[in-house]
Amino acid sequence: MSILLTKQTRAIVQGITGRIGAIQARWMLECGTNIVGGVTPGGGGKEVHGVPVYDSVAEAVKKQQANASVLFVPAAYARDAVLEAIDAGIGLIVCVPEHIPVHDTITIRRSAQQKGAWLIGPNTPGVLTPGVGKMGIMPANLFKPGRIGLISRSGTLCYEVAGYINEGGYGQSTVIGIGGDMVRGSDVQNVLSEFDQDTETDMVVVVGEVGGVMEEQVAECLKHMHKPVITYIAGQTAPAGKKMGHAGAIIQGNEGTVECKQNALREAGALVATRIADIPELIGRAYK
Amino acid sequence: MQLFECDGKRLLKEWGIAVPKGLLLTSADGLPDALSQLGGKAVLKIQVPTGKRGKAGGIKLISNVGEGNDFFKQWAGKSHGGYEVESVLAEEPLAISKEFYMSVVLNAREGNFFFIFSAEGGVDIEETSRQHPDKVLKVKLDPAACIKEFHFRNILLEHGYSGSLLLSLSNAAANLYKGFVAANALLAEINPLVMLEDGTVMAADAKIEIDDSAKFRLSSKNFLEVKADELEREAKDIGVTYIKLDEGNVAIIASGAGLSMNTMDLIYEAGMKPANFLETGGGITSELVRRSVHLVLKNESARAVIVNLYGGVNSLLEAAKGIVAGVQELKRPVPLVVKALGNQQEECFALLEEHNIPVIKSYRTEDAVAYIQRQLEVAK
Repeated sequence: MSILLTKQTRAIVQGITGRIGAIQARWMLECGTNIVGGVTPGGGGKEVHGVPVYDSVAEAVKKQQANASVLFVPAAYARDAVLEAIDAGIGLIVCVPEHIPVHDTITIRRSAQQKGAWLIGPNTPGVLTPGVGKMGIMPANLFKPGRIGLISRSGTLCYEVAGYINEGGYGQSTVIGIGGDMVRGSDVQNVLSEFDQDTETDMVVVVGEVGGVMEEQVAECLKHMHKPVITYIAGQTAPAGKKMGHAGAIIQGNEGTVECKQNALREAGALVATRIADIPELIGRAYK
Repeated sequence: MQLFECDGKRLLKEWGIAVPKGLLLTSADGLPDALSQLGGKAVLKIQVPTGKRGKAGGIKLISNVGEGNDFFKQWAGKSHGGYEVESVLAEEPLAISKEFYMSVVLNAREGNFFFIFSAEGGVDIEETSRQHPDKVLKVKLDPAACIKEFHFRNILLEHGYSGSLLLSLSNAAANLYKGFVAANALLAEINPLVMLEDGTVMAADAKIEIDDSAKFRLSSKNFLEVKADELEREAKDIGVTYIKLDEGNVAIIASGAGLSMNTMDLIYEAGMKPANFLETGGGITSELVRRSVHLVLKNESARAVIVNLYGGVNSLLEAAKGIVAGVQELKRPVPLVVKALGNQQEECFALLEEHNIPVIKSYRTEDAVAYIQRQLEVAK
């Protein structure tokens, strides 16, 4: 089955006629993603890599039964584009752009909650299901089909983790870039719960980093999980008070340190990898 | 970005919240004029985007130019909380009868806002909240709700406020909330919010943090900024996020924040020290990489460089061109290793090898760290 991005996904690309939107659409098509259309207001009637372009998300839904959308639009326009997708009844929205104002994220997150849509991101490399396709910018060749769910705040770090998972002889059911900002469209506990119910996922690896509360939220929901959860958190040596790239990655006072997070996770029963290289061994242990 | 008090108060005034009359001074020369405008006495407050100024002697009531001169002398060339003092706010002294705490703050965990109010203002609110949680009112505000002044009136009514104070406080709260939302602020805190002897409610301090990603929405953009250090300024110009780490010997150029932090962790684990955090972002160009190579080696303790890349939106070949150009220009050659995977990786590897630059062709950052460790040991 995998989660969110499945064989039933009929995806559109909002911003498909832009430079990045067009390139990424091609790469998504090349790895087999079922892209049924693109949306650029004013660009209706065009084609990009053989994909029909529509003026509105509603039109793409009507003509192509689209049920998912991935966005490549400038940060200042992302809020309205996501609201349009939610309004058109899209069930999975992957919001790739970074530097979206936090107040916009709060608005679209709330709207997605009210309509029951999945909003992944912002500031995410996207969602990828090996063998099925990807919505976002993850290089597909770095992942392998398998039975490990992968959730990560950081994009490139999850590529690294996937490399080690592959090396250990395992692969991924679905990879979710949950977003690097301080507020995210979807809560990690809801994504974990999807993996917990997925028949093609045996366990979940969560890649976190200093700052924020995502790792603590993982710890809080572990008691509801039936499957093992393995965690790795980057930034053990990050100095306090310095924002490490991601808006969410900052240690304030004693809160947000890797040690704090690891302790919370250990107490809650997670398998805590202190190094990425230890993840395959922990997967092996969880299978026993 | 956290605004200086003077800019925070400028915003509060725009939002309809009363603030004391004040002037911003950059030297003691403005004192006579300030004193005459403010009625003969003034409160001088050093302008730095951090707290605990009072305890450090950064806030002082003066009644003549001489006292003001002493204050400027005392702070000349000094720092508070790591920030150089470059300006002083001179304000009219207030006849305060009561101090409150009021703020609107982002609740990142749930994606909504908190309205926080306490009749115990002027102190550390977190401490009060821990010791006397009943004295701090904390109300969640739904971003989807249309919140008006009557909401705040009802909240404060419930907590025993009445008459003109109820109206002044709820009006300040409604304006603070409205301004917070309009400015896309992350925090708008007034501590203390004071009631003067004549009953006026006024913001005696302002701590406002705005979202750097939402600056395009602000009508006014001329805010005082903390002087960035030279390397951070250069990084901004290149288009990368850079944080210098003192006494580090291994510099890092990484395509991603998590990846850069992970590289730092592995360098520490191997008994070395990272010289910096550097994240290139997604849009790698050869020029960005070339300049990054120079930038990270401006930290004089850096003795080696690890370039750690995944090619996503842009190609690794561009990165390789930048690395080659950067290395060729180095006045102080140091061991450098590249670890890369992704778009156009084969072309990237070929170009680097042609120029004898070592490449780790896998996802294993630890292999790059081990390589640098061996090189530094050989160099000893």
